[in-house]
Amino acid sequence: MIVIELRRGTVNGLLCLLLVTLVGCAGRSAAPVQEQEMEQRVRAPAREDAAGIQVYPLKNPAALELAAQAGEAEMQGQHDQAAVLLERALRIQPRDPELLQQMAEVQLQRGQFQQALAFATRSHDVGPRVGELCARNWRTMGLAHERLGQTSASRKAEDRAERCMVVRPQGL
Amino acid sequence: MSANRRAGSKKKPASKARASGTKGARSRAARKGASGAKSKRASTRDPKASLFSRLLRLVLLLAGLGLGLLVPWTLWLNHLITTEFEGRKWDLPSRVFARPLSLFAQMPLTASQLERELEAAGYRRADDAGQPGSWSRSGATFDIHRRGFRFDDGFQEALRFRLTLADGRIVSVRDAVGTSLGLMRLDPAEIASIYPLHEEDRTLITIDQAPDLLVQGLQAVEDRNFKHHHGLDPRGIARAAAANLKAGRTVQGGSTLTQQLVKNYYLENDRTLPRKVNEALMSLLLEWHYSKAEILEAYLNEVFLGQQGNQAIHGFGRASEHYFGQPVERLQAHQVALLVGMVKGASLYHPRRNPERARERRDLVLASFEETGLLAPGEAATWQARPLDVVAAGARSSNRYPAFLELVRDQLQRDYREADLRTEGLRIFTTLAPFEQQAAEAAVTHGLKQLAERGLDPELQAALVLADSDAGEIRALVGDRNPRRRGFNRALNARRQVGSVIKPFIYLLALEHPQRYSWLTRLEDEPITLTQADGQRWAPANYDGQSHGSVSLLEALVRSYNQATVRLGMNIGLNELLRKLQSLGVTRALPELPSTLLGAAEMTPLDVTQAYQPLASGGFAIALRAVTAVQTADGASLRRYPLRLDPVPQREAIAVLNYGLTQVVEQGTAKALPGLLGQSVTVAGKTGTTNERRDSWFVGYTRDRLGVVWVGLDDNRPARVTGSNAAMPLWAGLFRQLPLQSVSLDLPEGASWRWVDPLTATLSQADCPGASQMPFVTGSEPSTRSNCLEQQEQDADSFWRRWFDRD
Repeated sequence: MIVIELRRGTVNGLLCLLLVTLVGCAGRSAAPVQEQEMEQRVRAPAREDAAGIQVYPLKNPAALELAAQAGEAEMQGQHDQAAVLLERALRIQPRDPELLQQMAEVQLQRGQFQQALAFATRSHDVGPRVGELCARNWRTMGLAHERLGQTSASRKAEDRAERCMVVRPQGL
Repeated sequence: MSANRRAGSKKKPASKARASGTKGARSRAARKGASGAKSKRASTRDPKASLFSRLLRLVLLLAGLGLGLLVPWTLWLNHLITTEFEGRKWDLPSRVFARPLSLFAQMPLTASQLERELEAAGYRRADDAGQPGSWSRSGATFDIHRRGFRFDDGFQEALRFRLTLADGRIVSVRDAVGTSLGLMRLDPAEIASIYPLHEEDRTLITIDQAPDLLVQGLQAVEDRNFKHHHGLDPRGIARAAAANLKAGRTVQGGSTLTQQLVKNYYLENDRTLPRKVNEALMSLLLEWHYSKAEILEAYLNEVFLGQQGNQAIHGFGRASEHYFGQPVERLQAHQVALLVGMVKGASLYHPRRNPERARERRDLVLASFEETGLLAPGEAATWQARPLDVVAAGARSSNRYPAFLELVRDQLQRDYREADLRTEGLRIFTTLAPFEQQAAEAAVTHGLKQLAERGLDPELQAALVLADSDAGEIRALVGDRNPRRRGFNRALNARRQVGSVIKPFIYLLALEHPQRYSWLTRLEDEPITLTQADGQRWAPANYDGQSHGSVSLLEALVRSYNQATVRLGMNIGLNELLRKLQSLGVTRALPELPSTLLGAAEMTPLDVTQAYQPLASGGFAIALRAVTAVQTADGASLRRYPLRLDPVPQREAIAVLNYGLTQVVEQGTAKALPGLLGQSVTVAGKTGTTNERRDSWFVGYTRDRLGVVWVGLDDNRPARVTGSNAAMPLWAGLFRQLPLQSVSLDLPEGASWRWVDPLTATLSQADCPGASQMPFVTGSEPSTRSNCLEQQEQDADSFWRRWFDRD
């Protein structure tokens, strides 16, 4: 039984390797994003990109407290607990772009890539669409698309992240 | 067993004869007295030996009989006791909780809203908030002592804090030493229980949870020798009899706690002799098998402590929640005494129905606590001075929100069996906001009364749904003109034609095609005749009977013109509309007929809420929820229903549509709304009226709340109602009680605000006459400039030219 499963895993892996250049590896094999990868691929480049363009929305202290607790839970690897706390914070401030982005990152770490996409999208919709947060939005979307095997959407999102500093967003 | 039987049958004839002989001898001896023993026969045998052997034979015979009958019976009882007691598992009702109230500085909240929330959560007003579950108020300052509670994200300790309000907001939240607290979450109101079919209400406790005073006090009053007896207590019976005689009435019972438990647990309530024998035997057996602690714990959970509606309250756990709004660990001496006193007669000493008798009994129990040393000398008097301190009847768990609870059950039935809901003691966390629910109920009751006063049918029915649009959580639900009535729940089950409430989705489809449509696109509001699928011709008219010629897309929506909307809908396609509604979460199949374009399609108020939720949230569809989490009886997380967003494509069109719906309120069919609301906030809304004024709908949303109201008659008769004359005033009656925030008109990527001249459909500027600012999906903006704008640009141009041409 184990042998068969191992072999199936290997076959899947080979298929993935074969297909990765064409469509990427989709589905169950996609692993949740680890803290280190999150830092390297979302937060650090976004900080770098920001280069002084910053928007600090006023935050409700109650939501802030919950967000801080969620941050701690996240650091300890308790991603489900972080999601519950962020949900509470979002009940208080449902359209806070920072909270929404934080939730998107937690969802990435929980392996909930569709939800990561959804929360990052919402953060972008209601957010500044410029600066660090914008870059984190798009990098999160890029990573989520990648894990979902949507290579071209992923590439597009990474491109958008680059442009958070350059292109003046529409509608402002 | 088998050996016994064999021996018995062998000796049977002999023992029969001897038995009669013995009996004869005994009765003679009794009749003749001691002298009779010296009879003639005595000379033939040794009289002493004869008597002895006869007695011996009597004992053996009785033992034989006893073994023959009693042993099997006892063994049977033993079997009953052990299987039932060991496998005992009480059916526990599920508890349903409202959403917890979170409090923080700057949050909008009035004193009366807070008081209503506290009342719903079973908090008791007191002189000081000394005990968890109590509060006091001085002006705009509230001292609140929250209870400890196991949430789905962990246990939260009891805590006393101070809250200050001013101008409809929380100014500060501070703890006992004055430190500012960021966020304070109250324990949630328990809004309902889902009971076992036998209607027993119970919250299990362990013996360790029970306060010492309860465990010892119960013994002091009911069974002083509990620790030492073996199930029966003859001395206890004697003592009780003496005490009762002395007091002139029953102050102590003679049954041991074990006997009482057996009575409650195994036996029918009759007073026959065999039952008494059974009770005694079973008590002895129970004590033989189980420890005193096990028996006492079972007793604490089994004893009957009052009736509430159809439910029988069993055990001290539920009784303390029911009468004091407290977990049993928190009870104070006078409360313990009341409950212990109620053991003797739960209805006789019911603190709400017979408060005076209950108090008398409680004081007697307190005295007996002191007498037995459980209270220090003089302490009883202090506790006797206290009032009964029971919470208001029905503050907890009287199932006062039947309509909402039906929705909760609907959601739970996807994942749980009915039997489990009734017996597993689940803890169900819901989204209901007690204060908003009360406001909704008042709005419906009061609103319908006013409509009747204005001459509308006094039998008008109504339904209301209030949701948090961003979280998709149902905050309030009313399904009947009498909100507490159980029965037909119109919010969930009344399928009614929706009328113009469907129109915004046609306009949304138009706005999703920026190359063809914007708010400035002209439509023909002229008579139109279509052939329905059944071959019938359909010629919709406008509400005012007029046709309005060439109108803009915005005007057609704002004034709800039927003919223009049907033309638009036919251009876009009926299928598109049906698909759109489906993609927004409406699962009900709607007829594929042109008349659907004007809402000749039946939906429930909840369906309509689901359809509008993505609009109200700015383009993120969420399945509406009434339940957020379910725990096991001991607080382990079983299932969560988390917030899940589904981004709708082309959200920019939704944002642009939202502007159009604010114009419906500002200048269109709902323009009476701001006057009814009495607050200056921007609201998006849409009225709906059906043929012959059978149905009245109003859908409206602010930044965070979406409300849907329906008014009509159950038998679908014409009711002389329109969207704005019936449902809208009810909606306003609710929303004017809520803290309101203007609907968000921020645009996402792909749409922008432009100054335009609506008459000529050209780009314009702020200071041009007739110019107004409105949102456009990118690509749908006018391509030409207004004369005014061109003039200004020429002027600017010539200014620069003059500047450069100066020399």
